[in-house]
Amino acid sequence: MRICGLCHTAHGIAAVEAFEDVLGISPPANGRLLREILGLLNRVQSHLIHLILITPDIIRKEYLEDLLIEEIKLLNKINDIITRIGGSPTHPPYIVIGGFGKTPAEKKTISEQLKNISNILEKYRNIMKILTDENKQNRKIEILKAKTYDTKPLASHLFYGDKYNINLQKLNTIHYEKYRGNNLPKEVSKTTSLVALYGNNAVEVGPRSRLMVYREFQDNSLWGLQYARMLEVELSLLRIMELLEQVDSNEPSKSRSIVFKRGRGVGVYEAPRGTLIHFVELDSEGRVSSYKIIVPTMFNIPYIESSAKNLPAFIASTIPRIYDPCIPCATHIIKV
Amino acid sequence: MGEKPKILVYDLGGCEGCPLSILRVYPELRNMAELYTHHLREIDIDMEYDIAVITGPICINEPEDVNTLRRIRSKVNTLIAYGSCASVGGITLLFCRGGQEPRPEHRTFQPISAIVNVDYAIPGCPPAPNLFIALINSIKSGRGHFLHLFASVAKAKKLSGFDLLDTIVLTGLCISCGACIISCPTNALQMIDRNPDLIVEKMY
Repeated sequence: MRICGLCHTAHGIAAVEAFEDVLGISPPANGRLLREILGLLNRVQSHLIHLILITPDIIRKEYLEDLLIEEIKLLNKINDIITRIGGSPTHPPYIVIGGFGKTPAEKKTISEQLKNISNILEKYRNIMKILTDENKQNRKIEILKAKTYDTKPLASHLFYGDKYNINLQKLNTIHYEKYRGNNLPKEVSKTTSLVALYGNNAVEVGPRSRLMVYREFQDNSLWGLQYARMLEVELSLLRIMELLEQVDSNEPSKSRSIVFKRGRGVGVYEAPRGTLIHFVELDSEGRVSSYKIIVPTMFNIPYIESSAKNLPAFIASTIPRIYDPCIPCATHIIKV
Repeated sequence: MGEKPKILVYDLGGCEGCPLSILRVYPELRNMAELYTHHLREIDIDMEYDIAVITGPICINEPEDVNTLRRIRSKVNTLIAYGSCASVGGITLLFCRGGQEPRPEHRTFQPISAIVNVDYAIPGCPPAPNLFIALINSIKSGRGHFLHLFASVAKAKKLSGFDLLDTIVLTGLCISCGACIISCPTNALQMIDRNPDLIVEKMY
């Protein structure tokens, strides 16, 4: 879980799913519901953090500061809800093998959170109105809207993650140098990046892919990436409200009998940035003997590169940013 | 130090939870200080700053990072280690084994106090950002008990559930206040017979 401070819950869920796959158990209905709720809250949190980082690219300077403050306030509200349900705003400790650590004790807490979320949804719709207002956008957006290209989307589920919806045999990872061949400049050849391929082809993962596969989303421009992400926040909030109503605070949310044994398992989860896959292998005493993770950006690297071609230089740093990459999570760290 | 001290937030690596948690209090912080973080704007570490905040552990196999850290230290008056990794090593010190793809030679992550002098350290994974505001206020006014508290954490070499048992419980210093249980980031402690104890299944 402490792999990433943005996708903490996503890594947590993928990891526990992988372990549960080894042990042959599955969480009780309540546990599964709460996990999905917390995962979606994490998705909203992460998208909002990304929105804070990308807003300077979208909005003209005169509107920037006020909007940033609004976004941070919204983020803090989401953090409060994650603390209530998951135990902590970053790295929530209630994601555990076998289910969910703690069921919200009273009906009152749940109805309170429902009210909070509908408030957030309302505020978020206002922010979205400003962000999509063409009079307030800066000129980078026109270029992003004009650049279209073909993508191959990959997604396993709209809200959670399902290992049966993708073919795990087709996955492989190679070093970036190998992917590009030998004609790399010297500074780049020291890179540690890995590229993930699906059936030897590059695929795109992330919000847009999810909406393309499971909803009829069509925009294949660079701006479409960000637009899909903004739509997804709204969709996730609605889904969280739907799920929260189903949580029964009298039922258990964690299965009790856990016996560790030898075996291999895989966990697939739709993290905020796309399909996240954890592979685990346990030895006969239940210790981890090998662990491998495929993170979403490993799929996206080829697309980030190819989509940046033939565009003006002043926009070059925006393009990786609009993909919301995990490589160094901070998107302003890259100097072009 | 002026009315609004210049604060540099520099991340050495890790999960990014710490620098992002500072961002959460930006609406309040911008009234009392100027914040320079790469999440809001491009930063230049050679500028003059009053306070530097370091997040993430230092990998001592990476000379570039070690040099950057030394350079920041030599320029600022006050250096704050923010988060468990930077202040006491945290999860990266205890569990990072190295030896894996893609960088097998990277294996030694230490708290930044292993390389430079740290004035104040705020532990937590990530710490509550309100603590950061309180500390900045105390530094500005030059007094307050947060200064003593976080200055003594900067001297601590270890700070985890295991050390709690060694240095507090087994030496008879525990007063059963329960503060450790509230502050444990993974809920891995419980009270048994008015003493804190580790929950076994959380230890692995």
